[in-house]
Amino acid sequence: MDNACIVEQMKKTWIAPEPAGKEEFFLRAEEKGLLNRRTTVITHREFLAIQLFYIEKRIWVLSGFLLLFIVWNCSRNAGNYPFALTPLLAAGILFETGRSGRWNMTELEQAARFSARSVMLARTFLLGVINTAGLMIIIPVITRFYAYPVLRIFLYMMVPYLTAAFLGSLYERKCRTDRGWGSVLICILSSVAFASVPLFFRQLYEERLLVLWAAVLILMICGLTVCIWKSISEKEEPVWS
Amino acid sequence: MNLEDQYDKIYRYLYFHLHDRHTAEDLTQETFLRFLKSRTYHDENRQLQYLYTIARNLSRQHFRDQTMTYTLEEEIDIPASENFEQPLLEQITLRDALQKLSPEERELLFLHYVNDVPVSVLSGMYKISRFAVYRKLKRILNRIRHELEVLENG
Repeated sequence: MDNACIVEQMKKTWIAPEPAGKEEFFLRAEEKGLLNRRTTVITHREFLAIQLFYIEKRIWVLSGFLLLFIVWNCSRNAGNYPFALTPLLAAGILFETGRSGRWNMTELEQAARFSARSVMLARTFLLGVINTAGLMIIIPVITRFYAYPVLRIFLYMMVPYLTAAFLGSLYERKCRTDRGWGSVLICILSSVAFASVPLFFRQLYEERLLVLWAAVLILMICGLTVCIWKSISEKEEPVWS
Repeated sequence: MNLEDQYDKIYRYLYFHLHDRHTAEDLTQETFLRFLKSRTYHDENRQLQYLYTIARNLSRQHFRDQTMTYTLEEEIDIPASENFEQPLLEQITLRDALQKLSPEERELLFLHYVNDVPVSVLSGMYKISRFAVYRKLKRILNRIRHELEVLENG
């Protein structure tokens, strides 16, 4: 007997008697309006647009100000110090993602139409993408003020940014009671640490060590991806009980 | 998702859990009431999964700590035709082979092949990958085929 015959026989074996009250049940459900509840379909774009307006305006103002401040500092021949300001961009993202915990909004978001996971993913995506896009825009501008090529500037800016984002995300995941403040502090400390690199470890900015910067960049990207993935998958969802 | 279609399938699922027509009907209606009233999640792909999860939890709640078992003790339908021995024998043999499976394996077969539950929903229900579901189904069918061959050859 082949699989198709087995399946056919199984269907004949598992035959149940007809339910008796089906029509009556659906009539009553319709009378109570349970069947007529229309749910509006929302596209991913609309959902992202909603989340975009939900993110506090001051986060965008802070990001914009930071990016301009970095460009201004670079234009004043400040050496490699302005690159240490990029972790503060990550602080904005982490502060925003910790907002629902700060305001005890988690339960409200979970009770709402969209799952907390999708809200968190959308916000992290928007803030991450827009901040990263901002950095991508200013990097060619900054290149004019340095003798470094674009790739080098890219590495010097992205490594502190991603390192702070990774460490902050890791802290936020491990410390359940964090409301965003701890991860913001980590970003500030990362900024201070990277600001000390040109002072105490000037040799790290030599061309021969670019491979090291690239390796750290890849490591941070992988670490951050895993961190965000785990944060989202560990986010509690209401379980039907 | 056609709710009236799913009503029959959920009822059948609960009937083979509970072996009592009236209890199965009550729990089916309870399942749909809870599903229709909550409607918290509007992702179409997950609605079927939630429906089955509600039904499953209700039947477990009904039995408390009893193990879910599928038994096939209902009367076998005798086809209204002259040559009914062969189909009857095939059904009996298949029933014997199915009894040798674990309850979880029988449930998986029932849900996919009888109730037409998609693999994506099953992977959500059992928290395993789709590939794992396909592999399990194939393995179970191969086992049944092997059991049938053993039974037919005596």
